[in-house]
Amino acid sequence: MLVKSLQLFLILVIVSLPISEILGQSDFREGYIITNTNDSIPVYLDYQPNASLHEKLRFKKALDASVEEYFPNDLIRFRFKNDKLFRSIRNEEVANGELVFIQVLVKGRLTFSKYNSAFLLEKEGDDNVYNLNNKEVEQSELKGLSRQKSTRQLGVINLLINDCDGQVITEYFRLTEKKVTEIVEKYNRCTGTRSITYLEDKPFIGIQYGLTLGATNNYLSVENLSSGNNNLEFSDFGYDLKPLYGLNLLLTLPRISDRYALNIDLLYTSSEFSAYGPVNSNPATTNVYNYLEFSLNSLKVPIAIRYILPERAIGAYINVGPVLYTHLKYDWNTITERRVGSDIITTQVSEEGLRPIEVGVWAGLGITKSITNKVGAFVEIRAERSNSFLSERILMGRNSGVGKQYRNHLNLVLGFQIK
Amino acid sequence: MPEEDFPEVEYSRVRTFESAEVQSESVTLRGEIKTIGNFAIDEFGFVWSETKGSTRINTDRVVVGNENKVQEFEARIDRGLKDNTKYYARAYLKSGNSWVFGQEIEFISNGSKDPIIKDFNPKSGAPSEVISISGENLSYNPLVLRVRFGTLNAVILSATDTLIRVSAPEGTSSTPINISVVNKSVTTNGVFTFQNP
Repeated sequence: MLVKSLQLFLILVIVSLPISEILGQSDFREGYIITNTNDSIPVYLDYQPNASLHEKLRFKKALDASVEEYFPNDLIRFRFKNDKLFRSIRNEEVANGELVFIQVLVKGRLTFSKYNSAFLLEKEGDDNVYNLNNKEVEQSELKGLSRQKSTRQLGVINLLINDCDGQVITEYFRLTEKKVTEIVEKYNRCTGTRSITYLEDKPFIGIQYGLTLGATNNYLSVENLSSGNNNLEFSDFGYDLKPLYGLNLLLTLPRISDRYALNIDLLYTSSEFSAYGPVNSNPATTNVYNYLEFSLNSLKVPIAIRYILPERAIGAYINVGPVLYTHLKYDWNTITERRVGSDIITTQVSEEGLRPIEVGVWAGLGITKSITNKVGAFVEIRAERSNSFLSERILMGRNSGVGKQYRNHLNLVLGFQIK
Repeated sequence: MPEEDFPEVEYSRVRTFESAEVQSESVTLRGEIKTIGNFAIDEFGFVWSETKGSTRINTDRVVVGNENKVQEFEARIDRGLKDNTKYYARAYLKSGNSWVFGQEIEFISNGSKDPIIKDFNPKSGAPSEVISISGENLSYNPLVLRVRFGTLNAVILSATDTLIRVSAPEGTSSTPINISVVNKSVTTNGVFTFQNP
């Protein structure tokens, strides 16, 4: 009962968290702003998704100070310490000429910036801002001329870098932040000018991996189970506490977002359930009982989108996603006990009717703590609900058609991750 | 059906493991006390017979213990088995008024050891006197036992693997006692002397 209550509580907590609140979490980090009067002021900047930072900046002069807001007309630029740099710009190629903050990714003779999903190039001595994702190209795409996009982008980039020997691009490439960054860095090196890449220390893809250990408490519920010739109405197979262990993998895109990651685990666990009841529908008069046992050895693969809450001394996160079970071994025994006088005689039959694949959804709340620069640890509580492992053909009840079945799982896991 | 609607049974549960390990002159059986019921376990072990479906009647058995706890157990049976013969066996337990038998397994035996007579008492007596014969490798199953005083069959009153109680037949002279367990027999060194009234 306690486990079921905890599972319900966890699911309700996660489901009831308004998305706006999640996305609106404040995360003030060290940085500086440069005002229109060219004053550089160290402050704490609210580390929001880029989409929010294009329009306005929230900051505090001290962590315990009140929050202030600045808009693009208030600042020349601002930067998070060892992290993202934004500057204000007004240009017809960007945001329909509105004054906005754009994120500067590479600064040099050729400067590469980003506004939402638009990639912007600027060259020293050229007042134009070249938007590689402009409307003209998008319209061409709608007409089915998608190749024009890359052809035009290729032309723009070549126009800007053709003054450096051997830098002209001749082959089609897919426009990505990583690719454009490489081209711009290479050009700046070629011209012998200073080039600064502001997110240089952050990889495009972050991979963390490690070991997971834990315990899982399963609850199996089945209605209208038909066992051989005996229709049974088992509903509650009770709880089963078993260990689980395996590998974890966390994929991040640090240059895109510090808040989201893809969590994939590969875990081994087992389960055993049993229940018994009278074959005769009148328990008071029956002399035959069926005792059912299910045993499973399983590989489970929980996959989740992880939302990482703003980090304090201990980081916290939420995982939500699907889970897949592959049952490597699955047995079902029906043990019948028949009373004859004072003798109780047992017969046992191995039955078929379990399916090897089980799917479900899960959510988890976890905390992380860095042990060293390269190693971190985590503890997480996870709630799952899956569609169980019995074939539908054995769930044909006597009275109400196909019976329902489900498994609830409450997992407590801890582990280590190498960053 | 809510959980509370399932009546709990009062008896303990026992299982027979599938694999019987047959050796020369013995077989090892394994079982498990799965759950404990309302009454203490008086004894547990294995029963076996040549007849399929047998339980308490006309079976031989070995008592392994009487601990009242969930546990696995095993027994090496080296008596009462013919060579190259199919046997049916079950784990069992006795608890309160109930005898609980696990599922039946089968095995082909490779024979067993000879029976041994250690002693018998009294050494003399009148016909119908109860004689106790102690030994080893005897049998609980009266169907595979035969006790003879010379050429006279004695009525078996009770039998275990170490003690057989018989009623002395209508004899008139001194004679050794012969015990046959399945197809093996043993004869006492001493003689029983009939005392006729």
